[in-house]
Amino acid sequence: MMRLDVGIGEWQVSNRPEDELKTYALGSCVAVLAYDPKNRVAGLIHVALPDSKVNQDKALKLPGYFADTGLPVLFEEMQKKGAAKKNIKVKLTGGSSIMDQNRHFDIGRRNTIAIKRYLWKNGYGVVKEDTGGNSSRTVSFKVGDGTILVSNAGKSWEI
Amino acid sequence: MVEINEHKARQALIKASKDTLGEMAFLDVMELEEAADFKVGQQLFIEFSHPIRGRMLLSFPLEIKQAIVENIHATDWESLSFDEIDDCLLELLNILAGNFLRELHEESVKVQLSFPRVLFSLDEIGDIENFYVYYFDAEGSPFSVSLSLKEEE
Repeated sequence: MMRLDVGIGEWQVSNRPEDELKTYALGSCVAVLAYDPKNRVAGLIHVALPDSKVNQDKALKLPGYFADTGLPVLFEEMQKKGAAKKNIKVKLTGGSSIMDQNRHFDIGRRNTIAIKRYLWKNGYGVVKEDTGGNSSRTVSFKVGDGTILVSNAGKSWEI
Repeated sequence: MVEINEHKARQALIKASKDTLGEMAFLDVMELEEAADFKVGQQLFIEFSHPIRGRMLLSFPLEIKQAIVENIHATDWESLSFDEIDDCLLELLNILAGNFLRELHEESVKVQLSFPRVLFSLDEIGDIENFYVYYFDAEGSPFSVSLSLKEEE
């Protein structure tokens, strides 16, 4: 098995059943986990902010950092590796309200909304979501069967 | 009967507005502490009679109207008919009012709402001095929700 680690603003796509995609410490960031079960193509992106307008230079260097620039790249890459758009199912996790309990500048919530808006407008369905709360999550994603395991503080659960 | 006060109503409205516009129209909404000026581009109105009696007036500028409609329909503004635009805005108010009442009372409460309608003038509803006006921001654009509540007799 090869483990492909995904840092903040990065993404990985694989069509090798033995691979596992993994990202760590999702605070207010959101992991978008996309899977084509028929062709067994998996993609994971670790999105930090909703909109690239705040820093277009950064968006050019690291498009995955923002929802609006990262998601198109993720889906394009998945299709290049054999995924069919009509088969792709999406799950979300992360988006915690860690920095601001008053939710005045709740980046986690804003990330989740921006991601859902993009997905809805582009015809991708979110089949499961484990977002919000105030804990940091680590997530692993098996390419072979699409199993997604979320963990935090010694506990883990499947989404 | 649940006692209603201004604080409880405000909290319920904030939660309902964030949830409704976030989940339905994919807009990030924050409450504003102070009144905000904006040019009203659309006003929608609904009444409710259970579990409390009251009225709700949703007012927003043209840019929010356009964002709501485009997000819900997942298409460009220009491609939509007047009916498609009005229908989704009215449905949004319908859900907002229902969410507000459930937030104010309890999730399972049965609510009774009138048909929501588009207002062309505030003269159509009258008695507007009895409304509490709450201001919000939707991704940089202000809007307001006005409420007038009376417990069911």
